[in-house]
Amino acid sequence: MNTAHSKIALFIPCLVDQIYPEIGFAMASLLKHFGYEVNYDSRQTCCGQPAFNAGHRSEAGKVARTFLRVFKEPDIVVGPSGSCTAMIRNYYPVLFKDDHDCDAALALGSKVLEFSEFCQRENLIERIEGKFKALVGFHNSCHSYRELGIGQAPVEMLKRIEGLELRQPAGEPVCCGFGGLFSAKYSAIAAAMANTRLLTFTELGVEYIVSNDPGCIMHMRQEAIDRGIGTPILHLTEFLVKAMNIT
Amino acid sequence: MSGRNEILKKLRRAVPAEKAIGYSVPSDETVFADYPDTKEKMKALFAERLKQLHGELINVRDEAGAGEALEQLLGNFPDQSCLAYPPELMEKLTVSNPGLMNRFTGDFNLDLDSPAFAQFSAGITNADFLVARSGSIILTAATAGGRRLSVLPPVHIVIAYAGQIVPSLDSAINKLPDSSYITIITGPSRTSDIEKKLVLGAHGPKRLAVILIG
Amino acid sequence: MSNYSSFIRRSEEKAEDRGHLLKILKAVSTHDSKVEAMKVSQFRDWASARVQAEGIKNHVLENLPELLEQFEEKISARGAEVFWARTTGEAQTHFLDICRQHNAHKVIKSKSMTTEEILLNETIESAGMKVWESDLGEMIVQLAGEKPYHIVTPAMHKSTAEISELFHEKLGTPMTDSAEELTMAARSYLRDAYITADIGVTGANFLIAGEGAIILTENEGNARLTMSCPPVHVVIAGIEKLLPSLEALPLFLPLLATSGTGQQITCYNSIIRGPRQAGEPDGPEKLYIILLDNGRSDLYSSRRFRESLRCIRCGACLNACPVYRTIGGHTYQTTYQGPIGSVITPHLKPMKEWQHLSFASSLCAACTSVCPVKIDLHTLLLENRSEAYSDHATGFLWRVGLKFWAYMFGSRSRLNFFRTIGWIKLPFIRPFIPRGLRKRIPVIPSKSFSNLWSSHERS
Repeated sequence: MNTAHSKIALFIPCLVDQIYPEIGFAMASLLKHFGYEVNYDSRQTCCGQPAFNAGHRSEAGKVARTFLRVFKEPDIVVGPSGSCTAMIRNYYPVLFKDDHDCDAALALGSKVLEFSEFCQRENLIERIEGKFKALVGFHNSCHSYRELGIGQAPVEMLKRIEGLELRQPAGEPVCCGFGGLFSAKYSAIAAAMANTRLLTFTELGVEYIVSNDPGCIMHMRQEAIDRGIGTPILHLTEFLVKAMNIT
Repeated sequence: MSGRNEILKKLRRAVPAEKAIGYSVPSDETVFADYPDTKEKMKALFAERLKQLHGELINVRDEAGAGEALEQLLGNFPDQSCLAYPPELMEKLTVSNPGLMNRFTGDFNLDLDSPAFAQFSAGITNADFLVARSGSIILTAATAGGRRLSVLPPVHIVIAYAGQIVPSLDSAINKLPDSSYITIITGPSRTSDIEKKLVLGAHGPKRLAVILIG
Repeated sequence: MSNYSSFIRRSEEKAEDRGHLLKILKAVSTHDSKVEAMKVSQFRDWASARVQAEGIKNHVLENLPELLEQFEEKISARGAEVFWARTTGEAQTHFLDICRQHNAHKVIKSKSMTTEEILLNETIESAGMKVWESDLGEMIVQLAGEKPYHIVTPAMHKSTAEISELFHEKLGTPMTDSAEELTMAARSYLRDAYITADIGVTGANFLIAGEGAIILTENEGNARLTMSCPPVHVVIAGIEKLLPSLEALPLFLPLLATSGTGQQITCYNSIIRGPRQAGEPDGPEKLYIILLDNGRSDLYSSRRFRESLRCIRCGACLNACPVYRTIGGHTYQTTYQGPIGSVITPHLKPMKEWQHLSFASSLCAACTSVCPVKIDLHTLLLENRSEAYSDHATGFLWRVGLKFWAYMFGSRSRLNFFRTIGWIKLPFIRPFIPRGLRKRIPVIPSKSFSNLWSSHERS
């Protein structure tokens, strides 16, 4: 472990803060397990993505600016969401273009990491150990995959678990239909997309669906309830805590 | 102001881009994985591709052989039901196969306004190039008897020479004959518009055969 | 009913229609594997081929006025006549003038999205003439009285049985489950039309500036026949369709075929340099080209959206889009559907009426990842959303709702306050929550992460 980076600032997305705090705690436990000191600055609320994606850039800017202030000091920021990380890394430069906070935005973009990215960078994947017999399907969030290029790391992390059999759908990852406010505005389409994605996994016979984006998880869990599909849908961190038997 | 001038004015008024102007076209050899770099490979690849496309290939040694092959291909077609171009080529093929003559109209002159044009059984043409990488045939209206000869009849037969094979399209694109119409033919006509089921002979020829001399 | 409301209604219907979804998924999955296999087998490096293609198209766009003039000069020198149409109306007028000049009664056409864009068939029929669609997919939708479902495969939503029934009813052909028999029926039905048509109309896949040429790619042979048999050939093409010279074709023809249909190259690729020239035994006496603007110069003038004019109309973004796969082509109610359609339509037509298409996307970026000329499609959808907001085209409730959201999330203390009072359950909040979401709000735990952290840390 690189002792220069032993202190981590937790990035807790709004969805995790308000609806799935257990995902935040799972990630914190894993980081502590690997020997890191984790800090949480409760002044953070949201990265601003919902408003930005809705085209309301000034509203997104207000919320994002507050967010920037929170993370001025820390060196490493780690979060459990590919889409939020992508917002900061890829879209803060757009949002803060020609703005006095532009430098701060770019600086944050270079130090914020999605959890599996962080594990890969710090060579933590090989330190994952656990025994858990299960058929697992991994749903790669579109933002993780296409905005950040994350694909291999989560799969390698899951493969470290003894007894775990990975069953991946063939071809490119297909969107679950969350898309932030898209699932609110076009809920019928979004629900049909979630259903299609869930069917892809159930057809593979998986016992768990694991994803690295809380948005995907929320959306698919809701569709699973509506359709009577009982397959548990867990965040990568939640699943690893379970499989590695971390308290 | 005319439509033309207004459109051009509007385009010219638009903010110029920061990007550099200028472009390069990469050679096919650097772009494509299956670029054949020897004559043997070219001939073999052309044959393989044409077969995959459901086209037919007959290799012959000389014009006499071509005439025999053609006579076989035209088999049961009625007398005077086929059209061919150019006349000089056909004369060469029929020298040792005079029986072939019966298949064609008179002296190989194309009867373009004839309503019977649509009823012809086969169209026989030469080619300007054969493209190995895609199994394609390039011909033009100026050199292959017009636009319709190679597309209206249900069978299209090409008489070509091995020396006409080029590795890939970029070898031919700068050497095209002067014509109002040039076409690159890659296999018989096809469609998958009905539930993605492949059907040959949608509007163009159902059968495409190449008699390759040399 | 506004376009937005009708879009919602239609998309809801389609989303519920499992049969429709399965049909599309079946069509898409075989297609997908074919396309991916061809990218690998044909190209040494598909990614760099895309970059090369992007570069060539960018050059075209940066030099568009000069290249258009060069195209016009070269092809006119060989006897073609070029018209420039600012709008759909002007294109229709030019076309009808040509028809009148040649005393035309029958028109045959090959597949062309630009002709759909300018409502050519409606124009022809209103003028008392007859038009035949010669592409099999287009012919099917024409007989059915429908619009094309997809820009490349117009009848992909129809089963063999449905087509058999349609042909039986309209052409009197016997019922059959054979795709071959149905195709042959179409072939013989159209044979006479080619020979007797007064005018053949095509679009253009590419226009070549350097040598002055029109490029047409197809598999069936109907376009070749359309430009070989009738005495007049009319081409209708968007001004952005240019390539700098014939030299670009060895890259672009395989690129288009691979991306569009998973073929190495399409069956027929034709290069038209002009009308029939001296010494040629046949071919049209006259070649007319109508260059269509119809909003493209607006896209061009906008720096951010200019890249959308690189589009070569391959259809890959439609095939990759999970929203398109769910709702199908007709739901869009536009000439150009899928991601590219959602990007350009609010610029070719009023933003206020068509901006909803840019919001009907989860921004998964599958479109961007497959575009052969690297158009940043999903980012352009985001740009459209931002523009819609600036143009006051987004709904009132959304504007107020998001302002409140930004206020609430603007500070931790405010967020905690609203959470404590259970804002999401408050009655006056309800109208701001979209209808479809009201039943799907997940269970909100009693304490947030922020609430729990401090007590967690103490233990």
